[in-house]
Formats: sequence, C-alpha cells, structure tokens
Amino acid sequence: MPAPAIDLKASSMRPFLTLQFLGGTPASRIVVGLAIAVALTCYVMTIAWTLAMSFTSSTFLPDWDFVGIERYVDLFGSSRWSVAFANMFLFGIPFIFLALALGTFLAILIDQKVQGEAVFRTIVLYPLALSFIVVGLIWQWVLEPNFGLQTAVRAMGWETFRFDWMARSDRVIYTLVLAAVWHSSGIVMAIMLAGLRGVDGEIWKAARIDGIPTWRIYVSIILPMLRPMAMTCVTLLAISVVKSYELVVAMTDGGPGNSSDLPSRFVMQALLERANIGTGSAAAIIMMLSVLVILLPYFVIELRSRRR
Amino acid sequence: MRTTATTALCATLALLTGAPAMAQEVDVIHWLVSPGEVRAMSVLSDAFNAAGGVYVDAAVAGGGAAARQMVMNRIAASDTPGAWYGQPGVPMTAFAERDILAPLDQAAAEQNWDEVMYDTFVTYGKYDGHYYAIPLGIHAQNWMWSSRAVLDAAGVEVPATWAEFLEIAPKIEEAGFIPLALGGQSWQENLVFKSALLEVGGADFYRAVYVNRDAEAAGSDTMAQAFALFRSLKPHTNQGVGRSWNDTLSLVQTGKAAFQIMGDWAKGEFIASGQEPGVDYECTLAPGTAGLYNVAIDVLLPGNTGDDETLAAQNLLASSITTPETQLAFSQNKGSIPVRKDVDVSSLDACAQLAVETLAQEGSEIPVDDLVLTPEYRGQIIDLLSEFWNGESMSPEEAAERFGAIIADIED
Repeated sequence: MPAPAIDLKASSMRPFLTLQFLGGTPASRIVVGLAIAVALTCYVMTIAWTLAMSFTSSTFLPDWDFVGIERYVDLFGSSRWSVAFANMFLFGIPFIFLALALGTFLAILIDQKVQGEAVFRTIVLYPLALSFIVVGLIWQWVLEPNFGLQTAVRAMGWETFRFDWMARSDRVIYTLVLAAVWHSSGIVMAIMLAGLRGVDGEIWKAARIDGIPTWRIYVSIILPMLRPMAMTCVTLLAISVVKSYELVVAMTDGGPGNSSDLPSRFVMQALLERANIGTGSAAAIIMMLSVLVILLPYFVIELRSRRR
Repeated sequence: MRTTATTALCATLALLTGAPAMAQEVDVIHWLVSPGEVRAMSVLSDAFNAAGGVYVDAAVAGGGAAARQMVMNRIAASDTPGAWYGQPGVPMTAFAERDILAPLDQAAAEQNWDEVMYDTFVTYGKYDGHYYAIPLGIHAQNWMWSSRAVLDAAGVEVPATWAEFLEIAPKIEEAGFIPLALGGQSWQENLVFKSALLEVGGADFYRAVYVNRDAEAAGSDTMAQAFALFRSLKPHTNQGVGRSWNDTLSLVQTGKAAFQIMGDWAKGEFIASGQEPGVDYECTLAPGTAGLYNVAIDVLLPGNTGDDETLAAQNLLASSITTPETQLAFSQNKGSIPVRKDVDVSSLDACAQLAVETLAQEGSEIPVDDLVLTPEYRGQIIDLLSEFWNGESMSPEEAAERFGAIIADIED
C-alpha cells in the first residue's frame, strides 16, 4: 500500500501557519501576529532562562552549573513552600467565588434604577483605584488585634469581643481574602453591570408578562446570559491571585511566621533576600505550570465553542 | 583658538566617557535614609572629601532588597559600583570568591587594622588573607530595652535571665502591661530565640552550632531545651502581625510593654523621641547573655572595578573612615560603637559604655548568624523558628532535630 502523500492544504497545521485561527482579515492577522511574536520573544525567552536557571546551583548570581532537578527536590522538601503553594488555593478559591458573588449582587442592586446610582457605583468601585499596597496597609490597621477593630470594639464596651484572625496562623489567609474581595468586587460589579445593561428590554417584558418573579428572571434567564462576562471576571481575578504579592507583603508580610506566605512572595524572597536564584527559579516554574493547569482547560473550551 | 577648541573637545570627551577619568571618586550605594543614618553617612562623606576624595552618594530609597538588586544588576552589567553597604563574613566571601571585591591592604596597613580592630572584624573582614570590607561600626543583636515607667508600676526590675523573666512576667501582666513586645516578623523572633539559646547553652554552644556548624550539637537535647524555653516565653508576648520593629518598640516607649529584645539600632528611636537611658528607659544585654556581645558589623564592600585609580580611592575611603575621629563621630550618629578598640568612648551614652565594657572582656564576641551562614541556610533556620513559634504542633525535640538536619545539610 503506498503511503498517502502529505497534503499541506489538508494538513491540520495549516490554519496555524497562516494564522487563520485568529479569524478576521489578513491585515488584522498581521497586526495580531506581530503582537504574538513580540510576546513570544519576550515571554518565551525569559521563561526559557528561568527554566534553565532552575536546573542550576545558582546562588546570588547566575551560574551555569547544572545540577539536574536538585532545586525542585529542595523546593518540595521545604515545608515553607508547601504552605505557600497551598495558600494560593486557600486564598484564591474563596476570593474568586466571593468577589464574583458579591460583585454580581451589587450589580443587580444598582441595576434596580436606584436614585443616586452614580454615587453607589463610585463607592463600590473606589477601592479599585487604590493600589494593593494601600489596601494591605488599611486592612492591617483595621485587623491588627492590638490597634484595630478588636481594640476599638472592646473600648466601646464589648469586652469579650474577639477578632484576632490576623494573628492566628490558621486563619490569617482568610483576612487576605477579605481585603482582596473588598478591593476587587468593584471591577466585577462594573463588568456585570455593563452586561446587565446590555440585556434586551424585550426579554424583561416577555418574562414579566409570563408572571415570573424578578429573582427568578435573574437566576434563570439573565445571569446565564452573562456567562461571558462572568468568565472574563474569573480570568481577571485568577490572574490577580497568581500575581498577588503586594497585598500579602503590605498586610501580613507572610506572617504570623510564614503562615500567610504566597508563592510569589516565596519566589521574590528566594531571589532577593535568600540569594538563591536556583530555588527561586524552580518555584517560579512551578507557579507558571500551575497557572497553565488552571487556564488551559478554559482556553480549550473557549476555542472549541468558537469553532462551533 | 586652536588650543581652546582642543580643550573644549577634551572636556566634552571626558564628560561623555564619564566617571572613570575622575580621580579619587567612589560611588556608595546604601539604604541608610532615616534622619540619624543620614547624619552618620555624612560623617563618612565629610571625612573622605577632607582626605581628598570625591564621595558620590547613591542612596536607594526602598530598602535593602531594592539596593541589593541594584548592586547585582550593576555587577551583572560589568559596571561594578565603587562601594556598597553590606556585611562581612559569608556574604562578603561570596563576592570575594568571584573576584568582585577590591582588596584594602593599603588602608589596613595605614590604620593598622590587625591590631586595633575587634576580633570579629579581623576574622570576618578577611578573605584569603586580605581585607575586603570597610568597617563602619559595631552593632549587637542581644540588647533588651525596658520601659522604666512599666518597671516601676509593676514593681519589678530588669531580669538577668529568662528564668527570672518568667517569674516576673505574671506581675507585669497583673499590672496591665505586656511583658515582652514582639513584632511577629520572623527575624525579630530570631533575636529572642538566640538569647534563649545562649541562656540554655552558653557561648560555646552557640559557636558550636552557628560558627562550627556542628550538626550533632544543633540537634541535641540542649537545642531542644532552648526551643522549650523559647516557647515558654510566648504566652507573655502580645499578638503582633508583620509589625515593624520600631512600631513594636513604641509599645515600650509609650509605656504599654515592659521589654523588647532588639539590636542597638533601637537607640536611635529613643534619641529621636527625646528619651534618656536610666530615666525613661533601660538598656541592658538580653536575658541570658550577660558578658556576651552578639556582634554585627556594618561595612561597605568595595567593588573591584579593575582600575588602579578607583582602588586607590577605595583605600583612601577605607582609611579615612577607620580613623578614631570618624569612627567616634559615626557611632554617635548611628547609635553603634566604634570598630576600633582604641577609641575614647567616654562621650558616648551609657548603653555604648556597657557595650564597650562587655567587648573588653575576653571571649565576649560572638558573631551574628548573618556572618557565618549563607542567606539560604540562615533563612531556613528562621523559617523553622517561625514555624515552631507560631504553631503549637511541633515539639521542641522535633524542632531540634530539624535544626540539626539544616546544619548537617550545609556540609555537603
């Protein structure tokens, strides 16, 4: 049986080579293609360098002395890294869920055509204008048991009031969730509100004629229509989880002990304070892999649904 | 006309080609930017300029990490700085091994460093027989700062040991004060731990663990006892999260807490608030560390730029900084004490007098952990202390075992 000739036109690689999967006109493909090329050069090269470093014994300066996976063995043998890595999920999952729920709820409230809507919108969006450093400091002052809320409430007469999560190593990570939700639910609200305002008025009229209660219209009709907005929010929030560094540094500096450490802080400390480029790079690679594991299914689903 | 044009051209070229042509110039990267520190650094620049050098200040706002990163970037770009603020011992050796530092033989001979400097600098300022660090002043990490008002109100005195502290702590609590203020940052916990270790094991045990890296000592029963003592202090501290050392010190300054363990840089805060030793506060060596000085040395590390003029300038800088006069003036402003044994310190405050008296005793100098361990291993130890201190689940024996494992790991 003769082997079938390779037909480039029918090859599954062809849409990738001509950037057709991007859609649009040839001109737009060139523009987007250039952007991709720049991103690939910058990101892929730095990632490759970090990957190479993670296999070396580099301490405070880069050394090209390869030691295999020794740095990864060190990393996973370190109890501090396990705490930091687990914290990424303990912090990230409640944060994304709560920010999404709260932001959507606020968007629905504001969507009720309340008076002074602009005022409420500004109040909710305002935290977003603050940097995470400021947010971290504010919440540190509020939650610090000796100076903040706990002392204030006790001074008002409620002597047994206790809210010292920030000083408890098993709870401190949730105080970060609190601060991050306060900061980020505004952006969720803004995106969801834009989505709500884009819903066709006819749908509301039709649903009202059928006598469906308002909450039911939201739950069963409107919110499912907002899925693309919700996905955008989840992506934005997920990225902010992985990159969160300033918040933890400003608010708890990883403490008490290292119980609120996050991978990004671990990497920065390894690189800048511990003079350990090897282990820091290994940790950075693991961080990147975990982001890929989370985001890849999302991209695959998106690509598939677009092809359909 | 022609000469003028040539001169102008030369001047332009000199400007374009930049600094290396300038004689006796050293740029100094540091992050000492608090008011007292700025005054101290200007003592150095005045001394160097008076000796004929040109001091170029390159203070980096944003702290040690930012400044260190700047130094690394410049080294990586083959634009090694003239000098930067750092530490002798292991951190210095890491640079010296790679030929990144310039030797200071000339300054060391001029000021007779081998004879006049404290042993810790003579030992840890050298690599392979040459000095590679310009000493600025000596600090120690085993100081205890006490609030006179709280001591009087609770009717107690400054404890000489942690055992005594544990006896008086309930009294202080009954009087409504915090016995021991602690900031909840792991490096602050490390200072308390080291003094507990010194009380249990003494200076020889400390040297065995940190200096000689004896893994057996590090995992021994003595270490477990040190951890047990460390934990017994915890109920008498207050909960503080990521609080900086100076915010923590303010608890002592404002009469809310009785004691804090902190290096003698804390003195600057008392000076800034106008408080006097013996009147408003007491400075004593930390419990369990009488007669011992846990020495840290501020140094400038001279970068090896490869040209002789810079080397000469660096030696001039080193020489002008280590004269008795500059040493005294620097210490007055920084709150440290001179690195020279032959400086008349009678003009310094009571705390500095105690420091010099202590250092005069034979065998009182013990190097801080930064000088003898790489940042990575020191960091692992601090992580361990912090995990032990902040969780209840690890037993002192397990902690000692893990301490021993970290020390054992260093050898290979």
